[in-house]
Amino acid sequence: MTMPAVKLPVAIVTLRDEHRYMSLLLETLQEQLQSKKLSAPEDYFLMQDIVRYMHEYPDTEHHPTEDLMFDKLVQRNPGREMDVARLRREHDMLRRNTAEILKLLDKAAKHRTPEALEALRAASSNYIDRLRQHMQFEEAELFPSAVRCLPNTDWHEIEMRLESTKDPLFGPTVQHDYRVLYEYFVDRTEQLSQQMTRYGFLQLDNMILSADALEAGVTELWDMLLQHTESLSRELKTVTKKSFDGRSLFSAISVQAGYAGFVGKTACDVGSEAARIYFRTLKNAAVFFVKGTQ
Amino acid sequence: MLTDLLKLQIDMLGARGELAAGMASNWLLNKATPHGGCNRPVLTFPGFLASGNSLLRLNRYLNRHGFEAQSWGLGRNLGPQGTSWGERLDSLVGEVGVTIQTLADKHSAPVALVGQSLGGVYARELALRMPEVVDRVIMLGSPTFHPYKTTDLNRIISLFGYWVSRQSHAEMAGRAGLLHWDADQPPLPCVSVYSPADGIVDEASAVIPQYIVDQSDNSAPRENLRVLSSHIGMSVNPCVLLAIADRLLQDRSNWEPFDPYRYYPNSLKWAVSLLYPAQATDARTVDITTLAESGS
Repeated sequence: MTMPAVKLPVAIVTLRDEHRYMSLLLETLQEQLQSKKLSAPEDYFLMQDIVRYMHEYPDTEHHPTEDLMFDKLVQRNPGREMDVARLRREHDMLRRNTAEILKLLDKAAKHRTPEALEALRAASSNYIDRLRQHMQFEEAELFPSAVRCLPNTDWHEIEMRLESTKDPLFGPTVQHDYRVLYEYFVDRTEQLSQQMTRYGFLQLDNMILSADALEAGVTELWDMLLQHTESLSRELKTVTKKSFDGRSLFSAISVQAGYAGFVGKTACDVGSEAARIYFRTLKNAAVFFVKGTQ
Repeated sequence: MLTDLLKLQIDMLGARGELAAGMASNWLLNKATPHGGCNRPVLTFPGFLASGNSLLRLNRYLNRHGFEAQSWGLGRNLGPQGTSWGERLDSLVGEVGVTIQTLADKHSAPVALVGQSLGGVYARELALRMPEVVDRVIMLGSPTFHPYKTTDLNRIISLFGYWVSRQSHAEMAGRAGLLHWDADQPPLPCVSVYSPADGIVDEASAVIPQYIVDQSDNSAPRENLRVLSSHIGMSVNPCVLLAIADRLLQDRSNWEPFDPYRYYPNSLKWAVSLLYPAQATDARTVDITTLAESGS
């Protein structure tokens, strides 16, 4: 079942965002559990931080907010009572799971025996599967039902509860204790963005922009040359006219020497301007080719 | 590993070039630098394996411009040497903390701390432990130590550090790591000078995260300052020296970002964007939600 095409209540958007963050954390937890490098206590730091967050925020704030929403749903739609009871039981179980995994993580980090690691992997994988199915069921079944059944007054109450809770990791302000975990994800995001930039130069859009920048540079260079040629030619006409207007030889030579100076100055101007256009065009073309924007 | 060795060589070579450039431009630099006025106390911390002498030029430069700068007084900086960072920093409070307190009492003013590389980490952590006697902290290419993020340090230096202290960075950093300050605590200004050409500490590790800078305000300013410099030569690079003097003079209650253009004559303004290259905006603004959306 898909969500109806209406403006979703803020509470639903927030809860779904939190699900996305939890999915990211579960994925990272799974990657770490599969990692072969679990030989030193610090190899467990990331997993410990993730599970601690799951225990301290989703278990104590996110799930109780959902419970409040489900209570309202049962009041409005008693047919959902069985589903809600099931989800409530799962919330309790998930909270017990995270507490247990935290203990197993401490044990595995301390003893680093294959048995301790195996117990950790088994418990964590059950937890990851259970939480994923749980979130999927909520989003597919109960969230759409809540959107249809709950009036604004109920949503207001749920949103009030959400506003009183502060996500210590993904909220507007990162709590000091979660900065290590937050900066780990910032680093991963940066790496992802760098990878995207690295392959950006293969995109046709970038090539078109780059070619456009080259073309603009060539046109600018051509216009500049034309403009200077015109001014040289205009000056030459004036000089020729002045040289043969019956003036003395000395005066004619000095007019022509003045023109020679003008040609020299124009050549310097053209050279420096051409170099500026050349380097600017190359830079623009390269930036567009690699990044697509400036 | 070979790349890291090459980077280290280039960095060392660059530092020599910066020293020569510093000597050649000494007159101009002194002419451009504003005067501190009243012998403000400054304590400087050398980087890993460097002695107080490595900051001789920096101290002399600051002393010439109205500061009273001195080195930390503990000789060569050999890192934690087998102890944890926490223990090392606690012992530093006993050793250098006394010097800071004495300087603060003598001048009846808080002391500014300037540290290069690991020295900057010490300065940052000491200020956290005794903010009442510290005026501000300026770090030159100082890294952060994260417990599980990929290390951003030159691997040759990391290996050497491991050999000296017999601990990996993750072990030394401990559970909480050694990160930049929070946005609001301690309520002191903190400036990170970092370089895109640093061959030892990657700029990602030296830069104060953008979310911290965004959340900070005038009561606790956090500023990143990007300068083209080698890692080893930061304390002799004339552009860095000018920036340090400027930041030391900046009014704490009315913090304005560093503006290098005001020190350069019109004929040299074109060089400012090369010497102080601005970070690309898209590289600074990281939206963590993209990671959740991309499913990576």
